[in-house]
Amino acid sequence: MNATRHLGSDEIIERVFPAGDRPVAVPDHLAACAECQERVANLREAWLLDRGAVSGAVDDLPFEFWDAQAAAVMAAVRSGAGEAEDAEGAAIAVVREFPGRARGILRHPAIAFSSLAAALLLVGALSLMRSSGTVPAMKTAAVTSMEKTPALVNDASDEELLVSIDRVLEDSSLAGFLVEETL
Amino acid sequence: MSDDEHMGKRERESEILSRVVAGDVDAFEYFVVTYQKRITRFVYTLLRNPADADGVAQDVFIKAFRALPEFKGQSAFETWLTRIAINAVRDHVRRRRPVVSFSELHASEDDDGPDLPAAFDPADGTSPERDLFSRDIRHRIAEALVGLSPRQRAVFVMKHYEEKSIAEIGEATGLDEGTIKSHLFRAARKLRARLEDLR
Repeated sequence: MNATRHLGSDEIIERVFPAGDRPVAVPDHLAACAECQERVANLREAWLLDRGAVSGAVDDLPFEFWDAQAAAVMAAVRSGAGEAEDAEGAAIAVVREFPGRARGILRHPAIAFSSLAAALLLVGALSLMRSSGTVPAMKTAAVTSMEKTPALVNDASDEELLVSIDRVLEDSSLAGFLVEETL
Repeated sequence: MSDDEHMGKRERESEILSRVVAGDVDAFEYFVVTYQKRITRFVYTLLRNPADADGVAQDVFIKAFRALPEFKGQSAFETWLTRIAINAVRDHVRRRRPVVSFSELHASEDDDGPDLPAAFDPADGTSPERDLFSRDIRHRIAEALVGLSPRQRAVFVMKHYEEKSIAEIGEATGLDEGTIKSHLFRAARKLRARLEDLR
C-alpha cells in the first residue's frame, strides 16, 4: 500500500465529476494506490453505465416514436394557432355586431327595463304552462343523443371532456407562463 | 461543429423562425424534428420516466412555439429551448411532488420487474447478473438525481450527461460559474453517497 493517505470521498467525486471544464491533475497517491483506483473506477463505471443507458434508451427509440411525437406537437401547435386566429376573428365579429349606435340604444334605461320586463313575463308564462301540463318539457338534441348513446360511449366522452378540461387548465397556466431569461 | 457551421445553422434557424412568426406554422416542424431527440433525452435523464418525458418534451415544443415572439435571438435556439425544458421539468416536478416518493415508487415496481417499457429499457442483455447490476445502479443514480433540486439536477445532467461547458450551462440557466460549480459538487456528493457501497 502507498504510504500517503487514501483519497477522501470529495477527492474521488472530483476525479469522476470534475466541477470545472479542465481536467483535474491526478494526485500522486492515486497513481500508485490500487485501492483508490478501484474506488474511482467503480464510481466512474456506475455513472458511465447510467449515462450510456439513458442515452441509448432514447437513441434506440424507433422512428415511429419520433414521428408520432412530432405529429402530436405539430397538431397541438396547429390547433393552437387556429384557436388563436378564431379568437381574434370572434373578437372582431363582436365589435362589428355592436357598433356605437347600437350600444347607445342598449344603454337607454327605458328600453333596458322594457326588455327585462318582457323576458320575465315570458319566463313566467312558460313556467305556468309547463306546470299545468300544456307544454311538454323539450329535449334538446344533445339530451336525446346522449340518451340514445350507450353508457360506455358516454364515459368515453366524459373522459375526453376531462382531458380537454385538463388541457384548457394547462393552457391557462401556460398563458401566464413566463419564459424566463434566467431560472 | 465549427464556428462557421454554428453561424450558418444560426442564420438558417433565424430565417425559419421569421417564417414561423410570420404565420408559417408548418415551418416550426423543422425545430421539432431537429431537437426532439435531444430534448427528450434531456427531459428523460432528469425525470427518469418515459411517459412523463414524452409528455414534457411535447410541452416544451408547444411552449416554445407560443413563446416564439418573445425569443430575441440573443442565445442559440437550442439554448433557449433547453431553458424552456428546465422550466417545464421544474413545473412538472412541482405538480407531481406530493403524490409518491421515488423510493416508494421503485420499491413497489421492483417487485414486478423493470418499470420501463421495452423501448426505454436499455439493459444490455449480456447476462441476467449484469442486467440486474445495471438496473440497480440506474435506480440508485436516478434516486440520487431525483433527490436533488430541479436546478441542481439540470446543472448536473447538462455537465455530466450532455457534456456542456460551464459557460453553456450558465447561458441556459442564467447561473454564474461559482453557483454552477457549487450545484455540481453538491449533486456529485449526493450521488457518491448513494453509490458508496459499490466499492
